[in-house]
Amino acid sequence: MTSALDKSFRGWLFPVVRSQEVGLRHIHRSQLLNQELAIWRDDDGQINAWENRCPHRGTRLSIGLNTGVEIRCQYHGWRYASQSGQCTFIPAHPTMEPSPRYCVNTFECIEKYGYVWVRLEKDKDEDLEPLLPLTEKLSLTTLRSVYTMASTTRIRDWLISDCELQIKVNSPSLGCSLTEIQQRHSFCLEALSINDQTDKSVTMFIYLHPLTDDATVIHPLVNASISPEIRLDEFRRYNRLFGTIRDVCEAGNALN
Amino acid sequence: MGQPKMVESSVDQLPSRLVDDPAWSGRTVVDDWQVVGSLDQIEVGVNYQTVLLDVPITFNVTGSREVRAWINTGCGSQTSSSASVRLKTCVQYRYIWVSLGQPMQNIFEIPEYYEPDRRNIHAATIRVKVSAPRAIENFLDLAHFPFVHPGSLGEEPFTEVKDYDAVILEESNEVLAQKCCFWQPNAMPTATEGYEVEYVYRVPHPYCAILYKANAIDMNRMDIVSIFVQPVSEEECNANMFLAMIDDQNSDTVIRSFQLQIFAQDKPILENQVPKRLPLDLRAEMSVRCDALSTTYRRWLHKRDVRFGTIPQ
Amino acid sequence: MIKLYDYELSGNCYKLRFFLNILNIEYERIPVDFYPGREHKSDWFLQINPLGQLPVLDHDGLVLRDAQAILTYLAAKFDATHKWYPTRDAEILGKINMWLSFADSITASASAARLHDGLFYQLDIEAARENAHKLFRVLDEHLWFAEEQEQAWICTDKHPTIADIACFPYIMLSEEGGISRLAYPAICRWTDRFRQIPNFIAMSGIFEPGS
Repeated sequence: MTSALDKSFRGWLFPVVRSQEVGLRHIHRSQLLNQELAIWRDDDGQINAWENRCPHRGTRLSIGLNTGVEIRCQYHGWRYASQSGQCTFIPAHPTMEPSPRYCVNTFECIEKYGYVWVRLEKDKDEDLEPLLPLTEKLSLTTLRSVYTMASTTRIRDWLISDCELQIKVNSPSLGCSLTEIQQRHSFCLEALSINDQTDKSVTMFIYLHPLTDDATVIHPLVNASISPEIRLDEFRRYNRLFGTIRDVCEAGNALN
Repeated sequence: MGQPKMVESSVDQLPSRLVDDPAWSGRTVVDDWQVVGSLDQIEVGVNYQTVLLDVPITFNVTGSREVRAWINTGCGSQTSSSASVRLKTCVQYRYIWVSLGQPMQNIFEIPEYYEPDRRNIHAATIRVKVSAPRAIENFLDLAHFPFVHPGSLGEEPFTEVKDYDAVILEESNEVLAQKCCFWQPNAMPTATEGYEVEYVYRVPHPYCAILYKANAIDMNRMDIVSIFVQPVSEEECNANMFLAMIDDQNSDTVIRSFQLQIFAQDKPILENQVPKRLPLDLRAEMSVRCDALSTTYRRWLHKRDVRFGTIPQ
Repeated sequence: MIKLYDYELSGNCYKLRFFLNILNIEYERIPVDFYPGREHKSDWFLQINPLGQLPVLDHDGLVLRDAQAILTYLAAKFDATHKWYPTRDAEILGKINMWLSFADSITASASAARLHDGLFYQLDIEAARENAHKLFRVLDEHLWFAEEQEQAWICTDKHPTIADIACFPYIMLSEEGGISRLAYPAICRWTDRFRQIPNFIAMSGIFEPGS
């Protein structure tokens, strides 16, 4: 198995954050394969995934301001337009038209299945489609993303080999278990989640989003729409489950 | 506190990276004086540990204001019977300066320091997770005032930076920028209203910068705000803020507080710059006209072959 | 007249500067040189607060220490809306006090880390950062579930309480202590909301939300 941060993965499309968590006038700070990202939405709803660095003096854009149409860098107030990343205004020289050279490094991104997906490098001329395109018959609910201080490789390997048994044996209070965990591709697993009380099972997808060599975000989603009355309880249940997965994978670090 | 056996500093004692570096032939940074602390924050007779240019050192100050400094060749802070490498030291402007090598010149002059009515104040030493040159360049920058220091050094929409002169002075080997003007709502503790302030910037040392601004009460005299930066590692530094003011109204605490407030506004900007070391290749980061002092500073560092804390061309 | 013994870079002092500004109360700021002067440990200040800590509030002779205690006093005394600390709602009061204690733990961890990293304080920095991360994880989860229930603040739906004020500064300044908030997106959204509070004022190290 190649290391999660093999250069070839830079051409893959990864889920990075739930769409609903990139609200208006907010800048979501993230990483992907060691690349720092600033993810933001303009007031028309268009999503942007930019290198988190102002090309002027290298200041992180994520500490700046989302004005609804641009990002304004916190250091000198330079403004960069949504979608193009082009600098539109330099306050120190207010009458000057900024050269087209002054541009933020932007990455391709789309929104689908409830996530913002980002690709760091163009892979030939492929259209942007999320890894493992899911068929349209699905009714997906995204769950809380779980930030885990463990490599993607460790998490994936543990999920495939040890997760089912350990969760069942060690965490009866979770209220649910995972079974039939299988890898669909390097960063996506599919599983059946079983509710211990009702014995109902539902298909689940687990995406792994490598932040850095040592940190991963687990993005789980279920193939089911969850009715409002039980929504909060279900979210809590799954959050406990993935919190446990996170804790085990992080504890595994201590053994190395 | 026992006295370690002292030997003169020699090239062999320093990390090989500093020695193998081609810049060693000029020994710009290693031979130069570097600030390591303020007398105001030092207790007499106590050993202080610090790191200078990636080299762990210890220093102390005696009752007669004599400074001793040495490279830690033993383990940690305990003085041992094995030889320690003694370093050249001096005290200037009530700061302790150390050289890892052989200083060829004195520390730069600030004649105003000796004026009888001058308030010479050490504001504070603050550790910043960025290279020393980035900290200096931020100090030399005007265009950030309305965004980082709103209400004091700048205010929107008065964001325009007019052209100014920035030059390398060959004889003194310093950088100088004059006629730097900016409208400031509250330029200093003695200011009672906003006005257009004129700055002079002077960089007499790769990691030290001084600015001169007209005193709010007596426009013929200049207040001095300066930053003497200790290069701890290539991506971390200790910033010492030294002020030499004409001010008969405000207490030391008030003057310090004003300066600390300003610096603490710059700190998160500095700690969010990527990369932490200063790129000397002028194409690495985009510059506009108001960045003349910044680009001059980068050219000067390149000319002097300053490699510590920079990304050379 | 209210006197506030204050230090510019103190997050705990800022909590009170912030709230006094919200409440539109005039006060006299008495600067105490916490660093480098260590004036908070001087004889004259120990007379005022024997614990040698900032902030201290003196309201016509009533002397209070501890930022969280002072927040409750100011809210109970001066908040005409009764929203920042609703003294008549036992459930919310219980919750607020729970999170005021939480804020104390943030001071002990995240603020300590900041003092270590920036001002050379000697302490177990790894433990401080680890504890801060544990607390941030708890708060991030709490805020995520709060958002799911259309609750914008730590204890309440629509209007912030002093619990939000108490938790905000050292969270917002956490990176100065080497504690990244990248793994806490719900906390990041909450800090955005906090900076949008009408009459928000910043402190050094925290940026105004911009016009």
